[in-house]
Amino acid sequence: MHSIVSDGTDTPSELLKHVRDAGITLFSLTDHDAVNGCAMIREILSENDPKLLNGTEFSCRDEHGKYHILGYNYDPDSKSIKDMVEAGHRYRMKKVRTRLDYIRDEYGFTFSEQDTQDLLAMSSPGKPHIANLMVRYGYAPSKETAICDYLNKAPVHSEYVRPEDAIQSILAGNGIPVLAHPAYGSGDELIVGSEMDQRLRRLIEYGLQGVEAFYSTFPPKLRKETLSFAEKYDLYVTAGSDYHGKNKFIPLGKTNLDKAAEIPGGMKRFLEAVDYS
Amino acid sequence: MVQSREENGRLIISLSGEIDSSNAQEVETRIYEIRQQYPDDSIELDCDRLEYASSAGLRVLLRLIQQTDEVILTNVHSEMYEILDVTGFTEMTEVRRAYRVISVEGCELIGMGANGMVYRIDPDTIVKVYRNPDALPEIHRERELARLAFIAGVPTAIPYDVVRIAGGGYGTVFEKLTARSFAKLLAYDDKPLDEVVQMSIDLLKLIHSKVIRSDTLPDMKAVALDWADFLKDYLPAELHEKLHALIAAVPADEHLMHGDYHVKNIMYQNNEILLIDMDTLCHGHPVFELASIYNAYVGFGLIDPDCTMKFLGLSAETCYTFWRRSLELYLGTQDAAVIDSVEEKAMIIGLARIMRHQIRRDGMNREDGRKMIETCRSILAQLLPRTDSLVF
Amino acid sequence: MSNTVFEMNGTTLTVKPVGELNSMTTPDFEEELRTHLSGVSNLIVDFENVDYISSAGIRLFLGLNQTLKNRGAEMKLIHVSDPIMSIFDLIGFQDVVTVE
Repeated sequence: MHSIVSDGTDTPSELLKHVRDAGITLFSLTDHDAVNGCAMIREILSENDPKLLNGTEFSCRDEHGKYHILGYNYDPDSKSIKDMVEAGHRYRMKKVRTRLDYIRDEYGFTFSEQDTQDLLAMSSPGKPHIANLMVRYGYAPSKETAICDYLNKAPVHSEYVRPEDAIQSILAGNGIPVLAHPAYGSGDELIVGSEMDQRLRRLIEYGLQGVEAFYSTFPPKLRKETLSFAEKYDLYVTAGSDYHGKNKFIPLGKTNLDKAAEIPGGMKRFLEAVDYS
Repeated sequence: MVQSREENGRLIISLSGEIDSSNAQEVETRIYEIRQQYPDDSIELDCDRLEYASSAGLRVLLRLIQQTDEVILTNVHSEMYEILDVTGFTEMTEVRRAYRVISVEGCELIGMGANGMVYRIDPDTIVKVYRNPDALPEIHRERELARLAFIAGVPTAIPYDVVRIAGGGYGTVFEKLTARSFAKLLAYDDKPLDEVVQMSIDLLKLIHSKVIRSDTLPDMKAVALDWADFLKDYLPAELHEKLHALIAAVPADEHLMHGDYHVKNIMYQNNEILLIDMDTLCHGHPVFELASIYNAYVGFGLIDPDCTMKFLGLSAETCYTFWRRSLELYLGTQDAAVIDSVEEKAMIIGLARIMRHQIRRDGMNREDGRKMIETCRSILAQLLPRTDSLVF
Repeated sequence: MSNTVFEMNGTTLTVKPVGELNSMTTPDFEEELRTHLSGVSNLIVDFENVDYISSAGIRLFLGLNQTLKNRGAEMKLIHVSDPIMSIFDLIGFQDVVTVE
């Protein structure tokens, strides 16, 4: 799940309330290239609350494509994680500025000084935030149009975090690196069969330990395919809703884990690894 | 554009016409209204009358697939299938093509079997039409078995597609063979018996050398154990226990078996031998195959010597010779003691099967049935005590 | 099949059969093909001039594919027409043999 710290709409405290209401017993906040939401929740967590797992999601890229790599249960004071968050943030800000420049130069879309400042002050701003502003200013009829017809056209040649660096930093911070929504690549691709196989082999070589086989918008076929790779390579299995508050229509806690006939071995081992029983 | 119905408790939404940016929103809203009324989150999307979906239409389908537990697209026509295939939908969920519809009216009827009729639809293809209108799952199963065997290199006719027959029912289209069965070759003395046996055993060995991993392929050992269990009430306890123990001790075996291997199912075409009727394909130790061969040539004829003539068009003597010669070649020996011993193993399984078959077909209430059951029982009573293993 | 063209380039053999590969023509084609196979590490079968293929023809390629694989060589079929490709699709031929 994501909070307002990245591209969600719930504040960390609202999120905690929703998690409590949903009856969830173990959860992780995985804001993009950010870790401070977890610290904020941990401060207000009381004894009978659900267990929180430190989480984050790094956007990565190399010659072969784009990846979202989740880091779970890392040591929040680890320098390697902090450095990686900082690098991710730096690259992200550069991309946001490129996009803002692009829509200004290309279409003449400008925002007030205050709105621009607010946007740049966010810890993890991205396309959805710019799109929201565009809709508010009447530059685009919907968020989808704003992203597809305008923002995605911006030539973004910025630097990226490489997957091996993200994985190594998570491992160095005693965390567990997990590939998010493997069949969707970085979100809206479709990667299956030998392509997924090759991706996983590369990432496993870098130290990847798990795959998010249970994902809110995986149809059964993609879930099964991801699970079979988890079994083939003996990987941890995790479940994620990718809840973004009002920014995506996904109910909190919807991971389709309830559709599994039994909890896969890879998930049992993951739960043991994070001391959850 | 969007209609819904319920069949066997499953929600079916049928789409028709074209879905593009002008109506995608409306279609999506309508689908969500329908879904709200059904708590069970599994949908069949009937695309029989769907002509086209633009990218806006595909986005509606994508969201539906991603936000529903299970969506299956059925009756998808070729053009739409191509679109769904290149856009990756076929990777994400089950997309079933529409059945081709063919008419057999005026086609030459070239065969009739227990399950249905065989028509020639053009010079190169035939269609096997099933009598039972609900046979679709069985048709798919048989076709899949034939396909797996074909791809594994077992010589058989190409199993093309499953089709809908105009006027009712379904069928499978096969390549038409211009072949004669081994039974005919023998009946008309076209080839010497030894040569025919040699060819049939060469092919049998080829089949037995293949391994096909598939859930659709039954394990013959499990099937034979069921036969033994069925006979519990019809055999003395010690015989039943021995029979069960002998079958249980046969090692698991993944090798392919035909399951109904006799001269009527083996075809000859331009120096090539081919198999037909793949619905009995299974896997297991070769003793189970020999048992079914024994039954076809000898077992079923035990109390009715005319049986082989009626069924295979061959005399009981020819069939017996064929059987013994088959064993010699399969086992690669002329040592009568070895052949006798394997024959007995095959007889045990074969006769257990015939005995069950007779009882289930109400044989206890018929004169010939009672005689057959008694014959099986007395032979089993002789053979079982002196047999230590069914394996050779 | 007398019009079949064989072209050897290094250890790559390109063969271009003509007409129908059915149970009548396949045995001769196979015999001729096998005489060209020694030392071939890469067999390319060009289907441009093939009008029809029966089970006998498909079986030949299934068998050849296995033979070549066993000795570390490769085979692929090219320029396959749509009607023949749809037969390959139906039987899952591409799960076993490379078709481009």
